Amino acid sequence: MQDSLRAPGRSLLRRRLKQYRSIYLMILPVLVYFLIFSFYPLILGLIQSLQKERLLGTPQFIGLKNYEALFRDRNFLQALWNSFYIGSTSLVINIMMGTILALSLNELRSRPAKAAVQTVTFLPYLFSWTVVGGVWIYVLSHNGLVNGMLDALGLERVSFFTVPAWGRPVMLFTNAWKQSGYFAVLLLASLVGIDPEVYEAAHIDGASRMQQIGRISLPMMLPTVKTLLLLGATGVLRNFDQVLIMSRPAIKDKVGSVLLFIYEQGILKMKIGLATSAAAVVLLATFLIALAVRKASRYEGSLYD
Amino acid sequence: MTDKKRAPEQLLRNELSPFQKAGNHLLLLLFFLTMIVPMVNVLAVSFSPRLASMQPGVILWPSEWTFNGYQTVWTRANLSRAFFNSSLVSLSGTFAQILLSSMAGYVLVQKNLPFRKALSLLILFTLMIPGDLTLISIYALNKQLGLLNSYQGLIINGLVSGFSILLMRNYFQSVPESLAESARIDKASELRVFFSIYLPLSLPGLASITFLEFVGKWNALMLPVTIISDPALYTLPMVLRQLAFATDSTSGVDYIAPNAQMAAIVISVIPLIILYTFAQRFLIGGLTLGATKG
Amino acid sequence: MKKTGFRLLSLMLALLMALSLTSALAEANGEIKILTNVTGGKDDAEMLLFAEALGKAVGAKVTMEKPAANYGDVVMQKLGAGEVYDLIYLNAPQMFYLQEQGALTDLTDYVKASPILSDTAVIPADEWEQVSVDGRIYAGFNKTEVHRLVNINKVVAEKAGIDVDAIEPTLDGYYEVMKKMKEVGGEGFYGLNAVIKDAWDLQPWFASAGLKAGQVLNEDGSISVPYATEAAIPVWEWLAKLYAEGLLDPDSLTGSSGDMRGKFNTGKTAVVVDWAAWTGLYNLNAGEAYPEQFEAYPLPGTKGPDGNYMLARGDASIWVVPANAANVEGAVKVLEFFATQEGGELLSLGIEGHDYTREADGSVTFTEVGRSHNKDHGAPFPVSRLYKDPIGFPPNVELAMSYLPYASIQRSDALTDMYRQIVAKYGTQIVNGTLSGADGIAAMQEELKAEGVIK
Repeated sequence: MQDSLRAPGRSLLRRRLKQYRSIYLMILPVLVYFLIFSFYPLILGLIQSLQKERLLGTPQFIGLKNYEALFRDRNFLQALWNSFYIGSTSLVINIMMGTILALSLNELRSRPAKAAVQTVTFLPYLFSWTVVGGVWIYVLSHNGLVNGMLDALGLERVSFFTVPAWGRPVMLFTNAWKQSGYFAVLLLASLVGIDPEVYEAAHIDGASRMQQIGRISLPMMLPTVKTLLLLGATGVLRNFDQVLIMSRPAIKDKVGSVLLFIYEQGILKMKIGLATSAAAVVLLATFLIALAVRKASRYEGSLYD
Repeated sequence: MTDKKRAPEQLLRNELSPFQKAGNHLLLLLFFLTMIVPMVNVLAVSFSPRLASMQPGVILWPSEWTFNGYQTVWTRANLSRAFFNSSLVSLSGTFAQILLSSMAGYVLVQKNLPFRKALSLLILFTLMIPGDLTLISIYALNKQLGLLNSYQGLIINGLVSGFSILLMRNYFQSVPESLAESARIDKASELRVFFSIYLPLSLPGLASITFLEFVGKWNALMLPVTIISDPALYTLPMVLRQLAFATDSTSGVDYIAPNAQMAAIVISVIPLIILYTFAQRFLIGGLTLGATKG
Repeated sequence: MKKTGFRLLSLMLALLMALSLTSALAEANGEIKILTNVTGGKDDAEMLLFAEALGKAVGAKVTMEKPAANYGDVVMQKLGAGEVYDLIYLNAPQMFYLQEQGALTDLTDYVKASPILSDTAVIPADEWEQVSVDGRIYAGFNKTEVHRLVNINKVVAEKAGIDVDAIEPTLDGYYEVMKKMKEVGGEGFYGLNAVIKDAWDLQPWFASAGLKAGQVLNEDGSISVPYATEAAIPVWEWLAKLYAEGLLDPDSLTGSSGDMRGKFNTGKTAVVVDWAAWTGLYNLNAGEAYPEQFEAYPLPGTKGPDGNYMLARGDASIWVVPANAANVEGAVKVLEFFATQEGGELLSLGIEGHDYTREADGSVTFTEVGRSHNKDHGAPFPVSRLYKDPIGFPPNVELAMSYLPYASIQRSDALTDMYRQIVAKYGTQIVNGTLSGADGIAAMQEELKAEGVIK
């Protein structure tokens, strides 16, 4: 009796699995790859985080001692918070800037101008932080361009890298400057896919171009924005290159990232136990952030999943 | 009917008002000017003489044009082989990656697929793993699989990217299901639906992701440094990094002047810029859904 | 009967001798695997030549591997995955971390048994302290680490009417010099440029108060940080004065050593503190501008209350032998070779025939390639104190090196980076006037205590 009641659910699943057999095959290589190259090393790394480091010879299992030491370290917790704050704010700003840039580019009528501007705005992404960071340090230096302009306007010069309050804004600004072109490329791809007839129809109905942008373009870009938010969430805590180049002692308390902490306390000191356990904490924190973003964007009420 | 007053020309053209247009142009000009400065700086320094390139500040025009920086780089490194290695690995790797990733993205778009959510989450999870956690295990794994010091190693590592998968899924989601349905009714296989419907209709997205993944592979340093120790297999970034950014030697005097360093950077970036100008044809548009107009 | 017995015996004896000879040869021709970061050839072709030359010199097959980047990561990966190397290049601080984990071979007995390495004329006895833990030696040397000292722009100094050899070795003396030089230096010229963000190059100034850089071990075993004591306040305030009067380049607070060097080399700074070897490099880099428009001249800085100069030496660059090395004797042979004349030549001049040529009369000339390598294949100043340089040094380097006796090494341990960050953080604020000297020192002390650097 019970069986026949349960049977429909189970047999539906079985039927579905059979129906989608060829589909599953299409994703099989990907899953195999992730198993070997992502999950297996991950497990090994997690095991290392539970050991007292011994690069040569057999390590000794010490359970969660590495983690305990981490959470007692004020600098680690500060770095974790810095990464979260700067990373998440950065992500939002970058996507916003990318959206603005994509919309602006889309309104350009001249093809050559569009191509030129698009190439140039993408350039900062192509260069490493070593180059880009160096340029910005000059531009923001005491005798640099920005302070020169402030002087000309009769304002006081700002020491961007030695005043703690400026540390985060500088990081956020330069990060947005470097990344907006990248996000614009991905957002533009969703813009160009919109049928021009939709715009025409709205135009005939009397909507201005700005209104069309607001009512058509933005909503059509929203799924991509959400995807980028979610994907970006996986990288929120992973700022390294920028901080390595641009951090200075006076502002380090505010901008020192957790990956920088891992590098200075783990890698440079050959402490693999510390490096892996801190990285595991980053992984867990990232997971929670991604889940939160996922939930929040679904709550917006779209079909997105 | 509209209450807005509009100039007669605008009734015909669907555009921003002249004022808005000017604002838009100004905004883009601002973006353009600030973002071109590093490129100009790098170029200017790369063509500067050795001593002059050490000048502090942002140089926008060489005091004296010379190829000295490029000569230094050229004589110090075997660039042609590195270029070949990078091209081979990046091209084949990107091609394989886009194929696999877009197929996976297609799978994740199937609404009634069992365990679809779990799969997405799993793939998303792979993007969260920090490199430090797998620093040693990735090396050990490649060693076990015999992938060290090989082209296969460079291509197979990073063969799939969760990023591309989830982005392709996103672009696929704007393809109307009705097209797929009617094809399936006509007994088309899934692969056929994928190749003849979904891919062509997501071309801008596909092109963007292909380009970005290529850039990522071309510039990759961490992974190649991990698995390649044979100089014959060095990729371009490795060669340039090795020579142009002299190590953290405490008091070493083997000094590479900024002009050579910048020349190395230019050499590394130029192929990407050239590629981008070609790829833009797909990215800017002209490939829109439905009919084209004028 | 006796004859055949005899023949058999002599045959066996001959066979035995032949066997032992071949095995002796086989032992001598071992294989040595080296993981290097700085030392060696500049590109892979040259690296092969280098390894070949080294192999010939020690009678073994030498393979040298040089990662393209991320050396620290690569060392961890290789060791962690069980790769076998006989020699690994490191900086002294890293050695301590590995020794702690038991990853290094104790070399004390090998060093004692080696006629070259135990000769104090070649390597002074107290040098070994840099690479010892609890009296046991765990590494060999890559080069003689040089010191940092004051470099002054002689051309501008003379223009300002200053005799560089007669500068008063006090903070006031240098202050006057910088002020005078700034007047003739032109637009954008500064008296002093430093790299305060790393708290790296301030020893010649703190010498005036007799304060040593870094963490200092007291007699009672505790650690103190002289730069963060009250005695240091006058020096910090001197720096603040320079900043306030526009004599200290504001970029000193944020710039890197590369920036500092660029500015000095292009004549924008009067005085910097840099490596003795760099005195020569500055002059070489100047090219045609030397010596008319630019000359870097070395000076030993300020004198302390005891009448002595005080300079800082760099962290030793060294070679360790991992605990799982296959050929420890071979590794030691390489270390011995580095401490000889030929070894010194390989590590500085380069490979004979490729980087330089030797004439019949023994004199040495650089090839084009060799010249571009600036005599640095890992050791611009080789390990051996008895090393005779066949080519001679760039301008003013010998003078700079003459001040080596005033230099000493700083202590390096797990908290060194924390010490640097804290001193730099508050030092920056003292210099730019945000904090007074006293407040800055107090803040330094507080945070140093909080981080456990001092008690």
